[in-house]
Amino acid sequence: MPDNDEAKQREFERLAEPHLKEIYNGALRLTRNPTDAEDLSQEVFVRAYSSFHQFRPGTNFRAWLFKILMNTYVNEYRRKVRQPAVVPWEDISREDERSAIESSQQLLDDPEATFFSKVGDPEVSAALNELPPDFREVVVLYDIHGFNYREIGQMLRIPLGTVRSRLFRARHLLVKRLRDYAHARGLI
Amino acid sequence: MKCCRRIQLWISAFLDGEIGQRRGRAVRRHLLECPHCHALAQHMLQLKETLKRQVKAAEAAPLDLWHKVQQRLDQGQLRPAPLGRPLVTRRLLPAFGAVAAILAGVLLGWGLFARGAILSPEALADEFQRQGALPTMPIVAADAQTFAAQISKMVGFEVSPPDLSRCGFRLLGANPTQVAGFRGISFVYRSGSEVVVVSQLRSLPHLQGFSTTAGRGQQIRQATLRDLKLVVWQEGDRMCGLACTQNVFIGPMGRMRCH
Repeated sequence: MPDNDEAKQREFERLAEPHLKEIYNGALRLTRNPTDAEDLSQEVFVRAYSSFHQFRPGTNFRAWLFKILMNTYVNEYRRKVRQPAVVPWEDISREDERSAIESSQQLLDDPEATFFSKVGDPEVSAALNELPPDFREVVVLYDIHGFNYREIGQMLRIPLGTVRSRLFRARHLLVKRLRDYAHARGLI
Repeated sequence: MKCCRRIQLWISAFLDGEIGQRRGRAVRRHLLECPHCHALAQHMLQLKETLKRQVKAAEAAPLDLWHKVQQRLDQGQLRPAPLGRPLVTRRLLPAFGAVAAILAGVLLGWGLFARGAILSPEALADEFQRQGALPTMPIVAADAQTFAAQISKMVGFEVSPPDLSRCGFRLLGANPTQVAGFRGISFVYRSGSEVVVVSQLRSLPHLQGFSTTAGRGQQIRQATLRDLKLVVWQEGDRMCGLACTQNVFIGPMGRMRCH
């Protein structure tokens, strides 16, 4: 670790700048708003710098930045920003468990799920944005940014079982919404 | 239905490879038998592929964003904590060191023994290469059916690679094989870190065999494909196989006996 502030800032910038685009896109997925995403990204890098002495060289800097992103988003940003009425994910999960079996019967009209190739990126993005925050976070971290369950559990401070169940339910909701869209457009 | 409800909650983790071997086997077995859960797994698999497109569609960060970050750092907004601040006082250091050493030992032991059974996809591929099980005839045809027709012509009997795509397995290619003295063809599939070989033998075209190297220490697994019961296991670190209809059993290393 560099032994003066200037060298330390240079070292931090060298490590951090390559992740600017990914942190911004992660923030954009979470906040769904470019202005908020820019503010959140700035906050992440400033906080990361202020905690840079806690970063252990040789460990995963990218995962460390994302942990700060999730901490900042969950603890500070999400509380401040007014959110539309959100159903607690536990309620959705119970409902989702009940409906999972019934809806899987409907999947047999396109068992190979070929309609996915016909659904456009904007529709996928919109379906993702409509997910409740708890669900959106795990999908963004796993499917978009490629973190594993253990890393996501550490970032969000939730047990592995919760990561697993949220991912299942999030994907189940996405499948249902994209199927509804495909049905409405006559793609199925 | 109760079985479906329990299994469905694990399908997502199964597709991600974030599931234990025993539960993974249960999920795969169920997917082979239940068309509804198959369909759900297929939808989730396609969704995962679709979400990958979102990665490519990532937006560029605003041009001045990094400059704004640098400005805040330069202005000393949220200064870093003082350098060299000791996390542990000198008096506590020896005790902390001892505890850390014990913890490190425990974690190292855990890592070596608990995780030693898992092979990376690359290691699996190497193992297959060493055993000559990787396909020597990669798929060049436009689709699996055309490929099967070409292979049938080459080996002189009708072969039909089973469609395992609904279980997440992709057909990589085919390889001439010999099991228990019977010549045939092996189709090689892959799903993440798991490789599965399905063999069809010239003299026993109705018999399909599975073998796998899902990892060292693999326990016996059973599955049902069409009307065949498949029993799969691993012998040491060797790829093993498998077998069977109701009255024929093909043991590992090429022995065969009738019940």
